[in-house]
Amino acid sequence: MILAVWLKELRKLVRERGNFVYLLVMPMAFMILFYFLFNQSGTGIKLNIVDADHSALSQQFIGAVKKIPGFQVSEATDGISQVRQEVAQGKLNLAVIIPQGFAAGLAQRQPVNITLATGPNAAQSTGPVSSVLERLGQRFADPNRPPDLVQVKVEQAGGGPAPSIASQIVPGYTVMFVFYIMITILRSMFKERDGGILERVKTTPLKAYQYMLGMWLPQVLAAMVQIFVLFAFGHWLLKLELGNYGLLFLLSLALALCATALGMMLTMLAKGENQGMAMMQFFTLGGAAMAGLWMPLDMLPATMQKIAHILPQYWAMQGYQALLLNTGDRQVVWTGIGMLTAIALVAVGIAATRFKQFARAE
Amino acid sequence: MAAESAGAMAIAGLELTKRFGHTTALEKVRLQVAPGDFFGLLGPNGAGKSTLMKLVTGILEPTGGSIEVFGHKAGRNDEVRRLVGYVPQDVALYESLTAMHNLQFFGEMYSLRGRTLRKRLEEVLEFVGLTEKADEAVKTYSGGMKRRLNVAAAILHRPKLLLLDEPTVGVDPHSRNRLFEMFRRLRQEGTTIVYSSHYMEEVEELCDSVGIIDHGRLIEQDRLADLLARYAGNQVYVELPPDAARDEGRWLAQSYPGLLSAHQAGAGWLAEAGDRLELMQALLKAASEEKMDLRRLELVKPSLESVFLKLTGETLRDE
Repeated sequence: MILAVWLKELRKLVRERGNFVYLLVMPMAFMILFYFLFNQSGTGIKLNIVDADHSALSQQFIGAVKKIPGFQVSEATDGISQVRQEVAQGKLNLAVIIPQGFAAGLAQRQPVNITLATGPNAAQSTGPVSSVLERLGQRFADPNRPPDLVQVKVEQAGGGPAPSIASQIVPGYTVMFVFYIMITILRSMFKERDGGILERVKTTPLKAYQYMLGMWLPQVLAAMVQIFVLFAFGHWLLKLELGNYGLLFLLSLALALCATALGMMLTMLAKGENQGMAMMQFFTLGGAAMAGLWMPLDMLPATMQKIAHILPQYWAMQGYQALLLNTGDRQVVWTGIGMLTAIALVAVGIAATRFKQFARAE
Repeated sequence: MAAESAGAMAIAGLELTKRFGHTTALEKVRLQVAPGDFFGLLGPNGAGKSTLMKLVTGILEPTGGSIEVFGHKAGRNDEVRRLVGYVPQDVALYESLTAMHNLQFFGEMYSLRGRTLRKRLEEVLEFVGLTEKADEAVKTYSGGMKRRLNVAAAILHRPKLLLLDEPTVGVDPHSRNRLFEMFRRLRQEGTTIVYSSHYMEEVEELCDSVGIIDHGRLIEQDRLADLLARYAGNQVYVELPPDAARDEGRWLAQSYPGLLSAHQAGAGWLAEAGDRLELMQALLKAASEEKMDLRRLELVKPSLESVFLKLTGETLRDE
């Protein structure tokens, strides 16, 4: 009988095309979008420089800034007041103003102020740009170190080639969208209950545990197929190296079990479909942001990095990245598998104890 | 196939009570349905019909009293579940799946497998006239077709007792007649049927026995013919010419002192007496003496409407 429920649920999943959109098409679209956003050359912080000094030294300074990776530098031909106005109006994000007397001041060892004019949307860029300009200015002020020798070199820790942005984007969006299967579970179970099918099923000899297993296991399979398709997509299209296939399978299975079990649990706990939907959206999007699925975890505040440890998305992401970056740290992968499986077991246990209440709550 | 106890009633409910919090849905209901009977459960919306059916199927558990199905205690009892087929009031099917896949699913819920299941699927689809449409998704079906499939899902396992909860709600007359034909055939094949409805004409047309339920109480239960004879056999309809000065109720009572009751019905009155021919003669005589032409005077065909009115003091409300 479990098989009959299982088969029915799979048929429903396949026939409802909306599932394909947000379980497969949406994550693929996100992956492509963010891959090209972050992987294109020519992207970076746009910096407009106004050279009011027009000296050889100021031009050397501009040349040094241009050499720094991550900056897109252009020299403004307008006057200082015009550039300031454009920054204030938000037309320009950042502008560096080299004052008249820049070279003379440095030669006489007088303090020289380079102005960084910031627009209303420049909050995130101001800190790094200011810091870079300050260090560069200090080197120019040192007569023992010719400014044209200043170089910035970026290198990958560990000596290997820089990792592809795909190693962040593919597991990040895969983990995020795997948790969307919770919504499929919620909708399916509420539809069965509110449409009277669950009540009808209760008049048959089917047992509650058979019904629950029959509803759960096809979703695990669907999540596994989703993970497989998304990683295959990342591998073939975004050139992602997949690492150890066996561990990748086990981690993916643990993730599929965990996401679907949490879906069952939240469905059973929700007082209505809308409430359940809100809880799941919060968990899926909030969890993705806090667990480092959208950006490397070390870019988040320290407190959030600590909170991330209670999230299954964190353990899945850590495991995947250990595999995909080939760090050789198997412990992280096994810890991820263990944590995800443990969360799945607890969630299924809670769902089972709440099922009777859910079934009669109509 | 589940066994039924010899000589047992199809349904035997004793002092059956169901409460939801402070609301009493059923109060000390005593219900007896004989095997092979076509039993109509008549009552307005909210009277307790669906609750009673859910107690028989085991979907709900009684707060008090007991209920047996063919001698087995109802509730979480697989024996009873195999004996009972339940057609819920709403169409409870998977809209995105085909009729065949829906029936296959419900058949497997009753442990039907392989060749047996395939044979039953063919039989049932033929029975409900959906063989041609078996591989189409249910969402493409008309309301009547969905209702037929709703019944089909409940008879795959050949239940001895079929519970039909308002099975014709929202269907057109043609589909309703088709459903009626199906129910009659099932009855001829020996299935005991409990048919809940608030449409009195449907119950009159189909059922042998009737239980009248209102506000959670089973007010009366008997053979349909006996109920009609007992409660609705002695009425005449009379319509007097318009006269603002006349108190029509008083005129009726004065014309025939043996009048048992009189209720306004449409433009006239339903008057009841121990002997309705004597009542008609008395009314004709009184009208003649007053040189008044009665607009209508006729015998009333006994109906469940009259029975319900007599027993509850209200017309069957459709809320």
